[in-house]
Amino acid sequence: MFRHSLTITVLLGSMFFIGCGAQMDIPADFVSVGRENLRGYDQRAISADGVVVALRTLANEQNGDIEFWAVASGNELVQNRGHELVKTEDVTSGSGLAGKLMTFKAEKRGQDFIYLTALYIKADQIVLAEAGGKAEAFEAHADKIRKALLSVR
Amino acid sequence: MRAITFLTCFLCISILASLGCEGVQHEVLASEASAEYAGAPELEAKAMRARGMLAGGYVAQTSAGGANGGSSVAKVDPRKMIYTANLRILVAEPRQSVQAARDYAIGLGGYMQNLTGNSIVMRIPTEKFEQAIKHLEGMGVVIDKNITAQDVTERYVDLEIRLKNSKALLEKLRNLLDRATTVKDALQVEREIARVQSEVERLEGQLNRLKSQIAYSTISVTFEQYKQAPPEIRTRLPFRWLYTLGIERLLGLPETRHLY
Repeated sequence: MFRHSLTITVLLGSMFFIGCGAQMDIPADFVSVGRENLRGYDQRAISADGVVVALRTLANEQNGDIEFWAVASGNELVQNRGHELVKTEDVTSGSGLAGKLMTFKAEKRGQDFIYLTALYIKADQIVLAEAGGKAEAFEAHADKIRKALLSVR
Repeated sequence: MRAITFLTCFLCISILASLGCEGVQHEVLASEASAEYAGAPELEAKAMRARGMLAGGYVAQTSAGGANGGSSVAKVDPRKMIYTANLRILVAEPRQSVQAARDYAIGLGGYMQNLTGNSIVMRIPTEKFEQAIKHLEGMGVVIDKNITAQDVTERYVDLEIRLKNSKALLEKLRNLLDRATTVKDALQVEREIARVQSEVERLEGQLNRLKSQIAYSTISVTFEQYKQAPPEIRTRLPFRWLYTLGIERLLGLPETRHLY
């Protein structure tokens, strides 16, 4: 009887962790938005001054490696979406995944924005952590945001 | 008796002062008056130059001796022009182009006069005006170009002569002040000196502004973003999630399509 209970507990626990997918730590002065405001992200949080951090997981059906997706993302944002790539860094996530952290600048309606994206490959998934906001507000949270994007596990 | 002589002198100078407002005419009248005892044809030619009636040059400076019957030759300078340009240029990144234009103006020895959004007004040394226009045209696709050249030679010469005459009058009034014997006379002359001094300052201000406009041309440029496809062909990978990257979706801003 005890053995059955243990097996069920282990199975449920495994299912729970698998179901959770990737996660990241939310910066201290950010609040998570409700389910109705996730907009397709697994996690989405916002600061009082409108800076957003978010995480989503995508199927890597093409089995592209981190270099492939980093170049593809950079080209899409620069060539087609009016962003300017400031820098690309090799980073390691909280769970030891190798990734790329890319920093972009963008000008929208005369205002400057900063957009960060951290890309990781986890098994057959692409884990994408993003952050962005008006440049001035973003700078005030820059360290905490960076820490959040690197906390992915 | 001395007071009567002084009053006569003062009246004469006051009349001359009132004529000072019409500087060119004043100069011509003085020249004509002196023609009685100087070479009349030369003075007539000089008077015509002062009116801007002679082709091939103009009087930039008339020597003080001219009005006194001297035979100095007027110097002939090139024409005085004010150049102004207005450009509208299509570019990929208007804000970057504004900064680039500003840096270019400074590099040429000019300066930025005004910057509003995607528009900039620059002052460029006139000798580099054409070079600057060519450079700016090369920054994108010119959709509107308007260049004006205003000939201000006559106005420039007129101001110079009026200023010179006012200064001469001021000098005469100061000499007269030294010879004033009564307080009443001295006060009258001082009032006139103050009026002429103010006229000199006003004319100097006008002349300096004109000189600045001549020395530095004004170029106004408005940079606009491309609204239609440039000839460059771009490729896009067939992975839809890539299209959802970017600041717009993350923040929920209205999407801006940059794909040409």
